[in-house]
Amino acid sequence: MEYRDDPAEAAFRQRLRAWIEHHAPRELPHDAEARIEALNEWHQALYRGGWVGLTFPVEYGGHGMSPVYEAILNDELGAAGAPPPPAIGHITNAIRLFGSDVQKREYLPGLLGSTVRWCQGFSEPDAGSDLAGITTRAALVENADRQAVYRIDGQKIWTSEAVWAQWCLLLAHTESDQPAHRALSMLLVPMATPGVECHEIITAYGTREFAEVFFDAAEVPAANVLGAPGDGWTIAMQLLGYERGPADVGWIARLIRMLTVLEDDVRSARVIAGPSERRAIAHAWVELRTLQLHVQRTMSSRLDGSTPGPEGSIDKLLVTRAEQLLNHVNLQVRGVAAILHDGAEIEAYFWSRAQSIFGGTQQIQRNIVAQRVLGLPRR
Amino acid sequence: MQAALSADQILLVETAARLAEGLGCPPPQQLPTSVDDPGAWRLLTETGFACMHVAESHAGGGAHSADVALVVEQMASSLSCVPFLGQGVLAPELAWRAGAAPDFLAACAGGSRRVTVAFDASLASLARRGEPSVAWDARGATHALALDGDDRLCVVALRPATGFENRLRGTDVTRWLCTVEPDAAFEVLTGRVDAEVLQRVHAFSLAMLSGDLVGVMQSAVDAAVRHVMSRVQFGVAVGTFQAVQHLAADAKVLLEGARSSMWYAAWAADELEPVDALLAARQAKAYSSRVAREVVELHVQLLGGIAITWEERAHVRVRRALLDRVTLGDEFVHEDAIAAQRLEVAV
Repeated sequence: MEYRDDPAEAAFRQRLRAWIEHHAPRELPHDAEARIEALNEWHQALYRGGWVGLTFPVEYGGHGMSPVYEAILNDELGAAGAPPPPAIGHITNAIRLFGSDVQKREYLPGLLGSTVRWCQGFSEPDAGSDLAGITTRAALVENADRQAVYRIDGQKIWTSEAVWAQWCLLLAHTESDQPAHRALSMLLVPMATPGVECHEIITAYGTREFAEVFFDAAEVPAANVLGAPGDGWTIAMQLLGYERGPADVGWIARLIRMLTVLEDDVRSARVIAGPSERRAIAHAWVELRTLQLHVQRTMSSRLDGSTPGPEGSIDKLLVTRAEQLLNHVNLQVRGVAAILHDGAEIEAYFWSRAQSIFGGTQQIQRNIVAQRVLGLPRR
Repeated sequence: MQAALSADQILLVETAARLAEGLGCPPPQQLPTSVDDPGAWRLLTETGFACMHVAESHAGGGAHSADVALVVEQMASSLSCVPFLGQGVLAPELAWRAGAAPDFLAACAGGSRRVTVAFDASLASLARRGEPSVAWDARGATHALALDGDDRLCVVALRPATGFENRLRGTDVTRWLCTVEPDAAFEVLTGRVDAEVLQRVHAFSLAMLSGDLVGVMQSAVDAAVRHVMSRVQFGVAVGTFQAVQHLAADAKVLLEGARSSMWYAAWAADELEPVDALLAARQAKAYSSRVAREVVELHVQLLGGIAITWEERAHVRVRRALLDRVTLGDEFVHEDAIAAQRLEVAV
């Protein structure tokens, strides 16, 4: 047990801190398009600075470092109030673990460098938590040019940033003669493919980040399958492990930033806080700190290259608890002002409600903890 | 950064777990009524667990604070009635840090002196000699430690141990408490104890109490899981039902969060400056105090009716959690202190 940085970690932290001071944008624009653009520039800058893909193997463009560096990155970005790092851990690892050499060479550089944007087409109107129930079909057929292609028909929903994405990692039903868990495949689909259409969903807090994606006889080469046909379910499950880890998706940085801003506002008396509000802020810090320490523990226990296990659901439940509490406290302390002005506080609050829905709902995470961590019976 | 147990620590946990199992809480019908269990205490002194954090120069084991917390956790998860935390950990720490003579500590470590800590009547801080106070974890103890008005450490005599007529009928049936008489005989052990030393002892004590809470929670989760796996209703184990599974999952999540905080606080007690160690300890104690009550209540719910009987150990866990959480301050006490520190305006 050693919570101090070793010399290499300390040097990394120092370099990172200095870099953030010079490169991090203070504010992101509110307008969706401008915001995405600014985030993208930020992610490209992070990549050029050498801060993306820290734990990713060197041969695929990463830095091959121990997972604790991801925790350091998140802590430092959060402490400096910088925007989060790109949430690419799940897609990059899916391609690394299951992709062919050609696919790895083709897609990983763009993903890591944030020059090519990806979205993840999993959920469907009738398949949210029950991913095995998806109905989007990809039939292996011969097209007019006598080439083997997957012809895709169906609909995806809640596809984050689909509107701005160039590629989609698509989970589709391909093996009609197989049981549900062997019937799915993971396809790599260019969003510009004829027959792919994207409709924005405006969120409850007025932003544009989700979309519905429609597939109408959209065709991709048969080679665009990740892993083997029928591996889709296995890949999806592994990838969700990465999606659930708060450090994998840069979540902690965002939460620390929010608390830091609130504390600054109270210290500088821009917001007046009485004893019960001050206690509530300390409560939020206690929860957030537990999350941070727990993620450090998770990262320390995750050996290089090993994929996250079902314990990741504990992290997801802890991040949800911390985020939802933090947002209650934020609204409590900022008082009526936050309600009279429909601004960033309310947006963050709605986000916190989404935290227990996306990436596997609160209830699914509890099922996983109960059945796969505690060993209670599966029905 | 390595937020993980070392190989040595894993071994230590296994050893402590075996020892704790032998010293675990008996069925509640057989809870101890005698004033002492000398055999159990001898075992703790002979194995070197008592006074394990005290420097070797003072007859202690020289162990790291993080290691001590891991042992505290194991003793708590067996719901042991042996006064390890009070007499084997907290009192020796205070005496050693405050500068008590090596032979005093040698007598504690050897088992010939039985000394525990005393807290003020609200259990919020170390006792002041001459004021109403409570000797904590006092089973078998003849003396308790308190500070006098000049911040000197005193060892105060408890009433003759026979019968413990001044025993409080406290909530926690595993941990004996007794009142310290204001006019009790005492002896001054040290000169004025530095505020920074007291801060370090405070941090250490909060981390160890957090370790005890984690142990109680672990015991609660284990018992709840065992029960819902074996209890059959509607033809299946009740642990098959999602409503039941979700309660168990919530308890597990809170337990692991508490453990992550406690590890850091226990490590920090030896490694960081007193002010930083204390912040880490307050964080862990605030979190574990809040969630421990939640976890033991969840486990009561999962055990169902049997949890409301005397013969089942569920109430023992609840009782121990309730005492631990108020000892040296609950979550509200620590969050107020954290707010005072973190929201202070820099000058």
